[in-house]
Amino acid sequence: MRNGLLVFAILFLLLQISAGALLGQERALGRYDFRHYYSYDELTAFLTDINEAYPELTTLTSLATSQMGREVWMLVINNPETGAPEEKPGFFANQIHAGEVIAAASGQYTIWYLLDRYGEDEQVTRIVDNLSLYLVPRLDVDGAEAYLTGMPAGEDPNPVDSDSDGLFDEDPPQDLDGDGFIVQMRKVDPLGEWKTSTEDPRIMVRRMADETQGTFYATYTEGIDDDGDGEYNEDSYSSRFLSNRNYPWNWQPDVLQRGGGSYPMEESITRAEVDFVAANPHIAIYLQHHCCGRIILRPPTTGPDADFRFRNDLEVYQVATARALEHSGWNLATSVFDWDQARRPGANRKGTQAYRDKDGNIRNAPYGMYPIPENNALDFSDPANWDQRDRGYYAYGSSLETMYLVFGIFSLADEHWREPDYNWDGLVTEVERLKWNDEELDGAIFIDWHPFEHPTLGNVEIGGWKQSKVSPPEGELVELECEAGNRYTVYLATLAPRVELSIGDVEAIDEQAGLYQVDISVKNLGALRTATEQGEWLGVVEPVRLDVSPSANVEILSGETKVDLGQIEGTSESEKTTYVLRVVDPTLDATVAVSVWSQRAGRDSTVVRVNR
Amino acid sequence: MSIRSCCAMLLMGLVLAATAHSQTAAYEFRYHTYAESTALLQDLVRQYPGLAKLYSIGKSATGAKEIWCIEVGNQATGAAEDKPATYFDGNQHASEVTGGETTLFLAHYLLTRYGSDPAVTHLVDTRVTYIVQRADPDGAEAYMTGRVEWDPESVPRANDADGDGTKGEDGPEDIDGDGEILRIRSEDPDGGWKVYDRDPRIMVRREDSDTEGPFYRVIDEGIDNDGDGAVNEDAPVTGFISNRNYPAFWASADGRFRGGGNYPLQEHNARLLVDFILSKPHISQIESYHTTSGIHLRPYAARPDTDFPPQDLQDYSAILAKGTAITTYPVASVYNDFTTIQPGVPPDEQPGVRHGVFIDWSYVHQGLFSVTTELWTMEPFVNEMGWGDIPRDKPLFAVPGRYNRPDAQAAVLAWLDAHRGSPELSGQGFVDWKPFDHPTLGDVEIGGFTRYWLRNPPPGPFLQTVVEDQAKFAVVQALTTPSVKIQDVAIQRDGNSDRWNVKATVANEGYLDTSMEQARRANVAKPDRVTIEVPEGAATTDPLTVEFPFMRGTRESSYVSLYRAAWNVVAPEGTAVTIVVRSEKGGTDRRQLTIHD
Repeated sequence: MRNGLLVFAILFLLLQISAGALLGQERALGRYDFRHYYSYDELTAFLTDINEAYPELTTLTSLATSQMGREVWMLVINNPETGAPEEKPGFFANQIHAGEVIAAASGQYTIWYLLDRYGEDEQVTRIVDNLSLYLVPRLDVDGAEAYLTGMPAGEDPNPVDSDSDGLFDEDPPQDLDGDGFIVQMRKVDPLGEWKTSTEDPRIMVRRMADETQGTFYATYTEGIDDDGDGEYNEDSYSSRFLSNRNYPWNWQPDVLQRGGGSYPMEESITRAEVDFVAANPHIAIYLQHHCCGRIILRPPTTGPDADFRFRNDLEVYQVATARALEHSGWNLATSVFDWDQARRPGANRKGTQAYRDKDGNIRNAPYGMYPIPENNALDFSDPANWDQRDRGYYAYGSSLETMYLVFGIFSLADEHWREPDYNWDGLVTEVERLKWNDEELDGAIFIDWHPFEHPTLGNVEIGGWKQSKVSPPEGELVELECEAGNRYTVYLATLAPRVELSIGDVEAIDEQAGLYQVDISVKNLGALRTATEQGEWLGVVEPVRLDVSPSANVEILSGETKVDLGQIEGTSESEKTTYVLRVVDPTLDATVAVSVWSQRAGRDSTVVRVNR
Repeated sequence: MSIRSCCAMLLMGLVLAATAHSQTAAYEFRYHTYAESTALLQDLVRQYPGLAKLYSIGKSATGAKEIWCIEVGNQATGAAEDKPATYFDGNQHASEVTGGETTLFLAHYLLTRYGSDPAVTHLVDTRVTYIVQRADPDGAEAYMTGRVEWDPESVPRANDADGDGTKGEDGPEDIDGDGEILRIRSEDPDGGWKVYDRDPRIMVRREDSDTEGPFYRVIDEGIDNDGDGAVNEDAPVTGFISNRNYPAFWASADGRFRGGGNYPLQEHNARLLVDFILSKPHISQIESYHTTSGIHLRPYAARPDTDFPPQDLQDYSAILAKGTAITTYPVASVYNDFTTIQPGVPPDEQPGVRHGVFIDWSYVHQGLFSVTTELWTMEPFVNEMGWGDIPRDKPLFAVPGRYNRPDAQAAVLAWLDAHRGSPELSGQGFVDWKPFDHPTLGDVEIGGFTRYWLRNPPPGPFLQTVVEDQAKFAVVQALTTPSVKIQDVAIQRDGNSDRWNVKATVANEGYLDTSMEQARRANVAKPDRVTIEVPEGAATTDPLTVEFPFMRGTRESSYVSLYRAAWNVVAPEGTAVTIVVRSEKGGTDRRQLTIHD
């Protein structure tokens, strides 16, 4: 990490000297390096720089201030020439979990990608012109900083006394051998709970209850017993982290599900996020980045697909998540609830999941998308399948359910990055990780066990995995993963609904009498409905409204001036209304102003000339 | 000190306390504005510095007022956090100002009777009482004074009902200067109201089938402040707690039926109350004073009793029955008895069910014995005048519409007619319709029920009865909290060595168990712990702490469940050790002893 910082600093200096020409040729990504993880200061510099480079298109604001005093940056991308942000469908993307730094990098990459390609790439230009984009690369700014530096990220206002001894954070781990990494210690102990794996002696596995003969180990995190209580590293710098279990919908408290907290929206940062979403009812798409697994996630997070009240919403989710696999090159598209089963080794995919097979084919997508549909989804209205409800993964108080079920927003999440699953069984084992470490990474992620003389434990060995949470090691893999995540993010933005007026030719019925007629309807050019059915049903999305205002010289003989069109399906058109108009004085201009208003699908307006 | 001199001291104390009592006895049973109640609370802590502390749990929603908590407990008998505690609040709902008066009087009652009333003295010596006097001081003030003192634009949830870009600029006001915001009625062929056929002072909704006039428009008293032609069409927000914004059962499973807000505890004041309660884990009882109906309400609000923990139900029934004996108020579950339930509809889909209610949160999530008392009722007056057509199969509080029913209002009006001018009404009751020349509506009439009648008692004897009854029951209620005590400690030498066998017997002398059944179900109950503390040079081979999942309460039987802990201690004779029993809800008790034969 420190190397990364240094590289960045040097790059920055060089840039200022040579105005980027030097780097432009050498680096595919221009002036920003997406091969390392950004510290908070780097992130701030990146966003400030972007904001200065694109002052018309971007606004840099703070969504909230963290407990330790950092700003939670939100970059708003909006083209003011095509309208104010609230007049367009909103796209809100964020990243929550502190240790999932690859997911934050991906969100950052999207910011650069959209702005760098604007005006050159037709798809990007359309997105930036038609949407308002709210991009929060990192919500848990304190937690991410602690993860990246391995040190407390500041004065913790709510420290946790993990060992209940009245002292806070007094026994953290240490890098004893000074190699720059805090890993594991193991010590031979006849009563130890661990042994080496028969597959590879570098891997530690649990001793079984009946095993008495052999070499057993006690394992510890690298460090000393600072507080002398006989426990090692049991009270480290742990502060409250953003859990993605503290959102209001279908929430459960800490005692039933870790991370829930005492009450929903106890976390000030996600609370500010929800306040923002509530205050911006034009947000049509919500996306939360995560790591790891190379998975596209959708609701529900607390029950099977049978809980979807609206099949239409579910079908759009199924198509969009399968297509997202195509764009990202990832492996699995699933609801959060159904995800768990597929993570077990050898488990069959559920019928509700689209996935990529060994040969790269996407399977089990909705009929017609790809050659192999094989839909074997379980029918949960059939009591025979009810026991399946117990086989899911429950995430109470998740962002997805709050955003979709309470705000009616089309909401997805993802899991960036997965280490190689050599045998395609859906599970990355330690053996596979070691193979990857040995054969492709030149030992970059595993430190071999080596002897060490510990001050209190005596002879131990230090070694093990460098990071327990596995974002890719810094380098080209980071950039490649950002590109994959970005392709899917951009694809999602292309789905946004967009209303457009459809006005037929003005036809004269009786020119002498000044009678004319014109057909008016509204098209939704986007793939998504102008509101999810859930949003419409909840009443949180107002109906699409058509407004037809004649000038003083025109009288409407047939047709309403204000029409409530309800919601319009994706890529379809509302019913046509034929307006019969009378021009009072044919010698004067006669016009009709027509406009359409949608809460989440933008606006459109035009002036129709009636005569001449 | 001999026992006799002890008694003499105590007696002197009583005399002193009684003197102090007489100085403050002139309590005025009326409604107190924020400034008045704040001054009263400050006076109390000035007079009883060893018994009471006053602090703010935070600024109110407008930022203009403090939400006061007065903490009552004898500081000489131990630290507050070592004692069992009860929480009271009032006036969560802005207009339910009797609640804020009940809490104010309760603080006065506990402090002025300390030393003379044995139950109060026992409570103040052994327990802590947290009284959040007014949970919504802004809203209560607006109700009492008829004035909104804050910028209507500046507050959370401010809305713009008439869509003119300005929020809350056209609310009601007292235009005839009689001190009351009443109702305006004016004849209008298109009006939605007509007079009640049995009492023309009462207005009832016009039916579709009604064609014979006269018909009326009925609105709140006020003028067209913003000059848009409509009167009182954009009233400012005057209440800051909905009591539908707490986390428990905040919404139905499908999201359609919801409590208040975009998420639980979005309401500023409600969040302050929750944070305060969570910061005091020794609180085991909750009482929240609302109006009206004259009823002690228990959970659940959002579920039927089907799955109610049986032991808790029994405790609720037994303790609240003590309440009924004092206050005459019956006991009811919010869902079963206080909600209009449609048969055959699942709880989550009942349109009348209250989601996100305070006592559902404090009971279901936190496992606390939680009650909401709805103060003041019209039932005695209706009883006296006759029920007429009011359905008698339920108590009045459970009759749909209650005091909004014209037949109930007619009975109440008849009672008021029979007591017209009575001093106990303090001029409150019903103001007869009288003509008024309204600046924009022309000839209208102003009249209706005053603010201290249907939903809050008139100041004076009626208010006095309400708050005194509640204070008496509050003492009984607060004394049912668990209370753990060391009963006995025994030391025996093990042979002829420095090894000793130390045994401690502890018990819960309180009424309730140290945790409610619901607390254990919700996994929030903490075990009770008995610990031996040994100095340097002494050691024990056993774990220092012995845990019990919970300790059974006495429920006023003469049987006390005993819990035993034992340790083998190696220590020289004469070593001082301490036995401590710690219960999150039942307090802490400790005893120091010297090891010897």
